[in-house]
Amino acid sequence: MKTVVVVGGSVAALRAVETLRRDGYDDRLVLVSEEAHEPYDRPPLSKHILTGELPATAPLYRPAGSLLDAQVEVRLGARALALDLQRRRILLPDGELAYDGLIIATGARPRPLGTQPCPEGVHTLRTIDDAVTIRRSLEAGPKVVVVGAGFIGAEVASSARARGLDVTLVEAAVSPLVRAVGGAMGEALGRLHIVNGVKLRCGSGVDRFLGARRVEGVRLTDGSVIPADLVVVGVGVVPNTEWLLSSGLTIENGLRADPSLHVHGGTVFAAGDVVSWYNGSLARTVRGEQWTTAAEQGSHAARALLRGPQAAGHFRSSMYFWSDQYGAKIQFAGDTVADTVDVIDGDPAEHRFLAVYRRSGRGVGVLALNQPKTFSRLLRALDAGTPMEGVDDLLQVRAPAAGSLPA
Amino acid sequence: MSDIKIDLDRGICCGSGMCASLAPTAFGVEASGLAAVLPGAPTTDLDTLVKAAKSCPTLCITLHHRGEEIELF
Repeated sequence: MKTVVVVGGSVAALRAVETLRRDGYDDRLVLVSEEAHEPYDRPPLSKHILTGELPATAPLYRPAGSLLDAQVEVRLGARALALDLQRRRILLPDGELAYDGLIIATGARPRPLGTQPCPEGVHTLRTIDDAVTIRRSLEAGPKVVVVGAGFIGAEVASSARARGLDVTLVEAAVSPLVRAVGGAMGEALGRLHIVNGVKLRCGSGVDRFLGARRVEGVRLTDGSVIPADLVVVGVGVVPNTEWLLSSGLTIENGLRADPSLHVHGGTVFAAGDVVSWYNGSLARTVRGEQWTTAAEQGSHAARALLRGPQAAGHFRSSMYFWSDQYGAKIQFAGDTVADTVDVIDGDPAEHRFLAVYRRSGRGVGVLALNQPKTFSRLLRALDAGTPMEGVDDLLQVRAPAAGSLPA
Repeated sequence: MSDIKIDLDRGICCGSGMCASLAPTAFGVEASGLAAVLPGAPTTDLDTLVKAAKSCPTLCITLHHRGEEIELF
């Protein structure tokens, strides 16, 4: 291959580029990113950047310019517009770019709430620019409303509370984190908000934002009004696949790849939040939105491009994720699509517990709140290739004392 | 502060670089992509070390103070 192009500017793209170089690919390598910055770490954007514990600048993964040192041609501020598989070219705003190998890692963007009108002071959070804008707004001491009690919303609420602000968290579902961890555990984790002084409003969505030019409040679907000077909306993400629509590739909950992340003709692979693939570890087709999954996919896609999908094998992932809220650590690995969930250690009321998700009686996922030692043991075992079904043995699970809850 | 012992389990380090961002005198990211404990770590302020350890995505950093493990959570 004379030219490999990696499209995307976050952790999947960075790992792809670094793996290509580390594994000996030494011809032309181009990184195309629509962001204005070299790849940077997104997880701190909702945490330390908002609290002020890190500076209001992009937390670059590598020292600026180090990609150039690795002979990577970095094209920033360049959005891929279309893909021509036959001619092996991608269309950029300033013309075409030919490739012999391509890794697609264009990620996802915040799902818009779609509520109109949308006055000033209503934000989503994905990029460093979003984070800096929200941080400046937080510094003015606003009344904060966070829409969506998923992980982004929860972390924004936590960061705003760390500044001592008045925070209301609005969630349309009956409890926080339903999509991420299921209803029972979502409710257990949601108590963190309440004990830390956030007003949690579940069961109502946003009817409309109030305020002519700047936002002054949020009216909920139950008719109630919450005053607000700053609104942050975190209601999920949409994979960035529009530029691929004319390519003929299969778009289904993101760009569909085969189990080895291969997309087309031995030349095109995908990684990160944009890709859906059959994950053997979960025994179903999924799309990830986890940092660690994206990072590992970037490396895998690079190896699959260099050696071929067969040799690289299937990409299997326990889809580990974590969240930092109010000084607590939430960790999860595996699948939340389950019949039951058992708290096997600790007590949700004490904000320290370990829970196992089970499908047809077999362990498929583990959730921990402030249980670092047990979870580290689990991660080491999963890294060593122990299947998730072995989770009960790994954790030396005894029968749950309190019985099972529906997941 | 030399009575602080810092361990980093590279087996589960995910290379996020959070530790290096929050405690740059104590942690760095190597060319391999994994984090490493720097020579300046034992003289880094304990609060900074704790903040870095707590922020690690996989909690691969453990801290001991005078032989006692510091409970992070």
